[in-house]
Amino acid sequence: MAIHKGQGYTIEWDADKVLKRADAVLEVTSRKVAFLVKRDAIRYLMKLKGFTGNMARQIKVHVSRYKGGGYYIIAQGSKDWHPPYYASFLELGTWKSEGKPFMRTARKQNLRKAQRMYQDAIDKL
Amino acid sequence: MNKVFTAIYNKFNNNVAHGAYTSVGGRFYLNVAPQGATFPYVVFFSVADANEYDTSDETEDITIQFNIFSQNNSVLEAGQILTNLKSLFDNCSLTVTNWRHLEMRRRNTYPNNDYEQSPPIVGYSVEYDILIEKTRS
Repeated sequence: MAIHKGQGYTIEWDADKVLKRADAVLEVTSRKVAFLVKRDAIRYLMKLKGFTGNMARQIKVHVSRYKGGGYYIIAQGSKDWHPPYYASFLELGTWKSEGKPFMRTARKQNLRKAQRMYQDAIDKL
Repeated sequence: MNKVFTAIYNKFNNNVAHGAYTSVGGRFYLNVAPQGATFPYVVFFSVADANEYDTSDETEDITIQFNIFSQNNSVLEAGQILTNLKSLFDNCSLTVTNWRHLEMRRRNTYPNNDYEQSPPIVGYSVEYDILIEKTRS
């Protein structure tokens, strides 16, 4: 329990409890945002001509190993690698094919929504 | 979006003496290079576009990517083109019809090579964020 004494007032608050609760709320929101971006990345993929769905199964949400690292979304990461390995070719384009970004598009389109989701989560604390 | 593409294209073509233009011989293409295009060249395309509105203004935050490709036995040529491209576009001002250009900021650079070709193709992908705004009509 933390106690803050000012001039004529005293505030008592359980900082650990509040921060723990905030961490839990942000953790849940981060997870929601990650899955939202993943869903939209798959949607963009599905719009591409010749899409077979093979790549969609290789887009995964992972938890960062680092403390406070949150979540990250990987298309064909080392653990999920299965041929054909064309995720980066689609995303960045190559000298012989046009770039068809789906990961960065999904991230950018959800940036504002993610900010709102974090704000809402914090407001509800 | 077309207005931004035009602005980028004009920026490039209005600087024919700049290293960015001369190092690729003016070969600067939208979306994809023509079949059999001579190396080196630059391709640019839109990655993402996010709109934002407030009571008076409309803002567009556009991510544009430039792909540099060079077929050479050395990485130096692609590296030099990258340096020139950065010097032309980093924090530059664009003339976008009916819009105010606010900023053009470089974000990420990735290698984009194809070593299976002979000679190998060495490339870079450079990402820029462009911010433009106009008064809402």
